[in-house]
Amino acid sequence: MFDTLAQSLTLPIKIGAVFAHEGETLLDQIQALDKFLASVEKRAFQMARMAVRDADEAMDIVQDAMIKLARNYANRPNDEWRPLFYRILNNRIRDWQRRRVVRNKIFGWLPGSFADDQEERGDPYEAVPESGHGPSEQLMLSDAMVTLQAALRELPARQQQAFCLRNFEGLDVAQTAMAMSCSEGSVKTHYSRAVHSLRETLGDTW
Amino acid sequence: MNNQSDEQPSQVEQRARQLFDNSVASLDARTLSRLNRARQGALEVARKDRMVMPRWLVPVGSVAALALIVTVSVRMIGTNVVKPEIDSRIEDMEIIASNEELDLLQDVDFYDSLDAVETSDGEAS
Repeated sequence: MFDTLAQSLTLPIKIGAVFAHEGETLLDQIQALDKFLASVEKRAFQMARMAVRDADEAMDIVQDAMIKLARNYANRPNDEWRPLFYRILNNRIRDWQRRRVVRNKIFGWLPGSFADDQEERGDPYEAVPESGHGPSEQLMLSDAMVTLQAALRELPARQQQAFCLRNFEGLDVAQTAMAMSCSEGSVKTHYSRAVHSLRETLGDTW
Repeated sequence: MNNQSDEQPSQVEQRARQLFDNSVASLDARTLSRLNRARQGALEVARKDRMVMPRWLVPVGSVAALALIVTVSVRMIGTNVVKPEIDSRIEDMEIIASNEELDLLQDVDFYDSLDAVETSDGEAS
């Protein structure tokens, strides 16, 4: 009888051991995710702010992307997080831009509506953060950043994405392809065209 | 910037990267604080989601519980059975099932009278 009970009790003990292992894994996973998100959050925010030109909207987009990654992809290998995160971020930015277009189409005819895009955007210099540089240098950097943002806005969406991911975020071709859900050849083409257009717009002396 | 490309980045690329890095490094404290809160919120969501019972545990737990119940039941039934009773019942069944034995039981009066005759013959001799 005691043998039976002893044998029966080993099963819950084994299940408990599995739970303890799961707990340790969970803790490691959360710490790794925390480290990863901390490493990308600033650049992701700045990229989103450049795209939507609104700090609050950019913050919401970045937080959504963080939550979605944590909820759906935390179990994936850590080296996949980076392209996955930027894919989510890009999708969120694109969704926001589409909603904005629809909103402008619906309410655009109203006086004082969202159609007044220039008014909605506000001061373009607000998107340029302050830094520890001197006033003249800061002004020069701000001017250059505003010029760059304006040039980037003139690019097609896919070229913008390719340029931001490759140049700003430092993703390689394969990671960029994964983030943009396209082939590596397409990434190279988009990026090359983006650089070419920017060079034409900004000039070599910029 | 490009780990796989052999080409050197152009001046435009370098300048753009430099400006972007500068803008990231210059984010104000309020924005950094909000980003930190956003990250903690995302991690909390991940923690809560993972703390929910794993999907595999329901079928595995059900099977384990069923196996436990069956094992304990079989062992307990096995220890309560009295084997001699089963053996004696089997013997009774064998006797009842045997036609020859029943015939002998039906002719018991004949054997009694035969026995009495043999006894009286013995006394007479």
